[in-house]
Amino acid sequence: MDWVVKWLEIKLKCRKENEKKYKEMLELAGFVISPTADLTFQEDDFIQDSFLGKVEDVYEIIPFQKVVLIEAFGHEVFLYTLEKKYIIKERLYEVEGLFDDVGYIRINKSQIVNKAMIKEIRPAFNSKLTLLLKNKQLVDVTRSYQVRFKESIGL
Amino acid sequence: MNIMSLLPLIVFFIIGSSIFIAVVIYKLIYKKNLNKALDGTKAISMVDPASFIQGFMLLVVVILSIVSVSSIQELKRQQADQQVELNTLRDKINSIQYSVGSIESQFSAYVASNAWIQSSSYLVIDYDPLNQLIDIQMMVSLKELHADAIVKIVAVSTTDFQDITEVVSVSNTLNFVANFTLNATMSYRFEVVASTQDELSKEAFRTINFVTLLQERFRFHMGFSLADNMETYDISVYNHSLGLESFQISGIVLRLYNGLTLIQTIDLLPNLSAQGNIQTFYHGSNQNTSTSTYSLLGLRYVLEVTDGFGTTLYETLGPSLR
Repeated sequence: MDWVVKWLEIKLKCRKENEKKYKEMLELAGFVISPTADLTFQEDDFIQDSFLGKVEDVYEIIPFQKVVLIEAFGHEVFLYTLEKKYIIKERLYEVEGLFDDVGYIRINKSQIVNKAMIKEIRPAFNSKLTLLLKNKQLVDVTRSYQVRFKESIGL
Repeated sequence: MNIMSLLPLIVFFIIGSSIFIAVVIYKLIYKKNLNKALDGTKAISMVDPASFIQGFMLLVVVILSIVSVSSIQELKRQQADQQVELNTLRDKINSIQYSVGSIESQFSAYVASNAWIQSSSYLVIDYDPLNQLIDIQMMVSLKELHADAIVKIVAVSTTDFQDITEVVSVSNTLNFVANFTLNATMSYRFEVVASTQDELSKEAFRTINFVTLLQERFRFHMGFSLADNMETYDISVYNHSLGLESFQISGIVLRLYNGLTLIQTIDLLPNLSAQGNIQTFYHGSNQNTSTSTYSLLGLRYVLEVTDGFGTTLYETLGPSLR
């Protein structure tokens, strides 16, 4: 049984003050706490306010305010800040559900932008909107996401 | 280049430029509005530029259609007005033409009433085909004449105006006769000249082109037809003797040749009928193409006409040899 317990990794999502308590409980139950685990232990009223992003085999915590763009490409999900590009574990639909209250907006099938990181909106004649982000990236809001986008910015 | 011809181009350019400017301005406003909303400022809801272009173009098309329809209506109204004016002008022209016709008929009546010559006629007396001379007798009836007047009938060549023949005619009545020997290859104008010691009166009364007269004296026509295996030819002749016995046809024979071979000789004199100076005849023949050895349409037809001056040949080909 020892080898099974050894590989049962779990990710912990809880408030800071409860972290130690849950960690001890889970380790007692045979789990290994790992931020990259596929299995997640989440507190009911936990609100995620950051991402765990991997860059050059190093994991960093990225506060949601620093995120510029989250993009799905193939099986990977990339997170862009003003300086760096990370790979994150969260799926795009999870991000959309978790962060739409804090100004994250889905702009097409594969991208979510942080409203606070939009520098300029450029309308095009083909009913598309192009967004210039603060990291100088240009991304398109496709027609099917335009209504939600406009609602999100208050139109 | 006329400026009016460039007008549609100018209008098109102005409309196109206006649409372009309007769309660009709208796009700028739209962009500003979006970015205002992004900054959290209260913004108004606007349609996107593509929808705006479609709507704006639709509006322009509707306006242009209205303008076009109203222009067409205006043109129709103007056309109707012009048609009314045209009809008025036509009425006026008809009225003027009627007046001119009336004046012309009055003038003709005036000329006729003032004409000096009552009537005229002529008779061909003789014709010399060798020297191309024609003897002709001219007869003129005058309406009035001074008792002392000397009357001359003058033939003036209208071909070269050099050949002038004057014949003094003496008569106790107002009818005068003069005989001329003239060149049969020319045309002549005949005039009456009456002169007294104080006065000279002159009036032309007839022009005769002898070339035409002699050419049209004798005419013949040949026709061919083919229908339902039946081919036909017909020939008609008209001859005017001009009152001269030598011009009367005394013999007429039709010869049909197939190549150089004489096929048939037909004496047409019995067909000839005469009425006054005019002789005419008609002759027709047909044959069934399925039974005949040659085609009537491929023959050569030689008409041999004999009159007081000798024999003349008229030759024609069937249609398939022409």
